[in-house]
Amino acid sequence: MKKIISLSLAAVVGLTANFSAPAATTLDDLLREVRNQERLQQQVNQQREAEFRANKATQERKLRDARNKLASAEATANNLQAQFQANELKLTELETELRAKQGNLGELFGVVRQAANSIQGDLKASLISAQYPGRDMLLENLNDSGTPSMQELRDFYVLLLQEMTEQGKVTTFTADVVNTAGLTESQTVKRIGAFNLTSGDDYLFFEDGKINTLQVQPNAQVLNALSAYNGVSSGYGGMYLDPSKGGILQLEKLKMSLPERLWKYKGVAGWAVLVLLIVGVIIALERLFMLYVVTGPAINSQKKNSTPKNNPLGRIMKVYLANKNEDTENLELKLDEAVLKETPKIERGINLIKVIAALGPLLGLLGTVTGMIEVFQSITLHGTGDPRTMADGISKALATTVWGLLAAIPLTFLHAIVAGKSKNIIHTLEEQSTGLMASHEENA
Amino acid sequence: MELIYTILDFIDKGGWVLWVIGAVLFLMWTFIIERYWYIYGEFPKLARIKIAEWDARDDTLSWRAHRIRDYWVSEARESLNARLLLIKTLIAVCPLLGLLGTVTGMIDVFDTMSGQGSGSARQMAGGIFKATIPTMAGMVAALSGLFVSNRLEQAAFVKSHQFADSLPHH
Repeated sequence: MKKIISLSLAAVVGLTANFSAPAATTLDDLLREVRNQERLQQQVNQQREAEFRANKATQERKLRDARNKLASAEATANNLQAQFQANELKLTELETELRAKQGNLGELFGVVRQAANSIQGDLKASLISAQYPGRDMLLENLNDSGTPSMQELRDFYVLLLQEMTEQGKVTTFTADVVNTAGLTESQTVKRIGAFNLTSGDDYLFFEDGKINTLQVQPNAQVLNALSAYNGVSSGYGGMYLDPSKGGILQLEKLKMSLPERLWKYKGVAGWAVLVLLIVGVIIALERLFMLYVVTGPAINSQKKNSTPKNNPLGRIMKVYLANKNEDTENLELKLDEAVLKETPKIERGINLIKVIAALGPLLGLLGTVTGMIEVFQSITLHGTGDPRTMADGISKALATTVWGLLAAIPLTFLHAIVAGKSKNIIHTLEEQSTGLMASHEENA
Repeated sequence: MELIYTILDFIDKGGWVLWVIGAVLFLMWTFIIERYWYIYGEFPKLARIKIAEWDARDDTLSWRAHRIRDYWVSEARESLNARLLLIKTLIAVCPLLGLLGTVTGMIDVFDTMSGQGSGSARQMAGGIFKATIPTMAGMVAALSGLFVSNRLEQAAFVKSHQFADSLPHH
């Protein structure tokens, strides 16, 4: 509502402004004025009408022109549309033709690219590439370029054939070899199929296009077989091949010898076994010394001698001589007592050796089992299905069992020797002492 | 020669422990043969001398004579039983050595596996097959001695009693 009111107000103001200009004083004047204006207006209108009439022909011509233009443009559009459709049709036709003409060739290129791609890694690592360097350039080209040329296809075929035939050959060639000191020198290299590279009595390995001398050579048995093989001039010779084409030989570097491994993975159980072993060996050595060097010879010389000296048999003899004139029952009792006094000194520590020998494997087993528990617990927690982790853990855990067995075997031996000797001495004291004295007396 | 190669091949498969087991086996059988030679060859001669000596004695009744007889019997038993404990220990050590070989073999297997990072069941089975050879060898070595050592013990027992019976108690 407000809007309308304001608009009408504006109209009123406008009107008063227009018509106030001629300054009409009376209504008659105003009337005259209006009439004049009317007449003027009419004249202008007539003039414009005349003008329009005069222009009509021109306008009609213009209209006709525009119509003509539109018609021609539409015709062109129709033409083009038709052409486009025709072209489209032709294109499909040509494409079918192309596909028919290409036949299996498209597939072939795919196969070639795939084959080149998959064999690139193998060829790069193949020992035959050590003899013929730069073979992988062709494969790079095959992988990069869009359509392989006929020449490239031929070369690829020859390359594969070369790889195949060379795998079955034992050849020697001269090549640059990086020796263990890291220096490059020219050496005569013997290649056995695709499996091993050797130079003289050394195994080599091939990595990143370079021939290197193996840092840690395999054990003597393997190397001896190699030198024996090098000595064979005709017929067949045996040697150790690496079917993994270098993988197993490389492992030599990582391999620890058994003593190293045992020392490294002994753990708490290993330490315990080691300490027990040392204690056991010390006890056994002390016993061996006492029984074989001190007590044993003393008793043996006492056997032949009727005068008692300070040794177990001599002490019993003293008791016998002191109570010789008592009645037999009393004498037997006194002698038994004397023997009983001597036995603990002889048997001391022997059972301890046996217990330690039995404890060794048990402790080792304990270490292994706890190691295994750790391995499997970590696998449960981290959920790695990696056989490497598991195998590594198990091989570490087994070391303590070896410790246990290594402790048990010598201690069992030592126990047997010591126990045998002590039993021998005790029998001498228990069963033979009185007889010995009796025969001494008889002979005297 | 063929046999030697077979044995060497076997030892090659089983590892260094087989050499130790072989040495223990050799020692054990040396002792066993020595025992057989003593119990059945030497001892009867010694026993005859002692029996003759006993029969020649005037006094076989006194306390002193009895003690001397006990002394002879005990000495005979000692010499018959000598080294039998050692033989039994060698027998007991054989399985331990076998186990040692197996465990070290297993360590090798798992070490190689961890180095290569492959979980090939075939490879593992091959390694374990090799690792179990020492245990088998140890068992066989122990069994070979076990029977004979029991026979020897029995023979020593019988011989010592026969000797005691040959010295009449009056």
